Amino acid sequence: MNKKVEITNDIKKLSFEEALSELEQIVERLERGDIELEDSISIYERGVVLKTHCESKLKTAKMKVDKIITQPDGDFSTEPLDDI
Amino acid sequence: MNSTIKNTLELSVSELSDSIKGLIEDNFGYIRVRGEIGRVSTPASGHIYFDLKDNDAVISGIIWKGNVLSLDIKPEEGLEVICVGKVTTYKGQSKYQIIVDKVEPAGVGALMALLEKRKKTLTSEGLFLNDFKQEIPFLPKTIGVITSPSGAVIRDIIHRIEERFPSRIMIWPVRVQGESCPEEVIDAIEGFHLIEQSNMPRPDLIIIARGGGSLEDLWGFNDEGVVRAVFNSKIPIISAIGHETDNTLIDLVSDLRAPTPSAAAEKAVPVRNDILLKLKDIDLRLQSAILRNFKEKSERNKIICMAFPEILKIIKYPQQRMDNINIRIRLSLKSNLNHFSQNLINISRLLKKDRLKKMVESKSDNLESKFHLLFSSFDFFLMGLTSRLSLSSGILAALSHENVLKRGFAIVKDDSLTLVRSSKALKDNQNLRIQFSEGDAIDVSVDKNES
Repeated sequence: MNKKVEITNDIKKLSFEEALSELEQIVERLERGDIELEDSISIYERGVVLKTHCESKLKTAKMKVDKIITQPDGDFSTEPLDDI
Repeated sequence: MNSTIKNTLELSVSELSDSIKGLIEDNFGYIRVRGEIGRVSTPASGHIYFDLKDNDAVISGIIWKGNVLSLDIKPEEGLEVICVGKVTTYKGQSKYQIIVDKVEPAGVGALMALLEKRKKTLTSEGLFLNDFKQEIPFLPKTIGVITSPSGAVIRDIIHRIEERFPSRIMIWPVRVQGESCPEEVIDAIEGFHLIEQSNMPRPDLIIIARGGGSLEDLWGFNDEGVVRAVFNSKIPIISAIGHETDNTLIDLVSDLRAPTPSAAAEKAVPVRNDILLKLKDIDLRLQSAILRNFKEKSERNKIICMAFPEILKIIKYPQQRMDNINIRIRLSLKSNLNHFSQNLINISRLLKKDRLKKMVESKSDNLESKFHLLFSSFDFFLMGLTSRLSLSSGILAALSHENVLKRGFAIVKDDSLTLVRSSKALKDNQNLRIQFSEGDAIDVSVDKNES
């Protein structure tokens, strides 16, 4: 299980929620067990990729707080808000 | 009268106007005037001009730019207010007017009445319908927060988001009360939609929040322009204005209403640890499901394999039948054999007799010579016997029942072939056999009734 899972582009495009709900569907399908052995392997593999994708999304969660500064010309910029 | 008028000091227009101004300003000083706001105009100068009226009279009102920012509420047409200010004149137009420093709603009732009226109008337009509500994203990448940059509200939101799911937050600072509040909130909502133009991430969720306050304090969030900006927002908006009991129009139009700013943060992001646990659980289920799937498949395989000896069991019964038949065949063969061997024994017995006969015959040659002697000696004796026999047989024939039968008699016998000598013992329907001289015997049935 140490093999590095490569996240395919179609999965990269998925939002966390989409990936999670597809993962849940995969688990449910596998748990029902009414699936061909070969299909079960391929959807399992997709499940592992989805899981890795979700995990990476969770791991990269980082707090960053910026304050918008409105310039006189109407443009915006930000500055970190650290006096909270 | 005329001379008096003639003697009066001649004034310039300005002198007169200044004099009137002085009179009015000195007489009224600082006053409070109650009335309904009529037409409002807000030119680029930043001053606000409006009419204050009741049923019979109208007075012009001006709020200088410098006072506009400190207004608690924006003057709005139809709102019953109490204006605080000074009456003065505008000599350029021969006009008297009131310079307003402060505008207060004429009691909560006035604001409530305006709120109800506006709510009704916007409701009839369909702005508060659930059909238009957008779904709040499960896990927003960037959260835009429109609120005051200082104070407890933004702190609560940041801390709650941080402890639940650390995320990128962009704060758009606005005044959350006062006359400029609506405009700033509208600019912030629109600004978040345009922010990508400045190479900043566009938030996928907006929180508009404010702490508790009076109806007046929260009035900016009842602004029609704010309501429309929220309605038109392409980014889902969670609103949290005041306390749960405060009902502002923005709460009605937003995609999701949170009772407090902290609650808004809770609705904005899930708890990361919960999701991590859930993901772990899903992973576990995934692993065990695939393993179980393999196990089930291999077990089925095993079962199928185990079914092969089962086939032996299936043929066991026919086999048993066959064995049974085998045994029976053997037995029947044996009994058949026995039968034949019995026959054989019987036959062989006969054969023995034949052999004996042959033996006798073979011996008989031997005997014949002796027998011949015996025969000749017997011959005589036999002749004597013969004559005696023919005599006897003649007598016997005369006495034989056959001769009697020839004379027309018949022999009647019962079933047991005993001669029937009397009809007395005969029973009805009893069978009798009658033997005539010639032909086969015939069977007749007794019919006693007729005799």
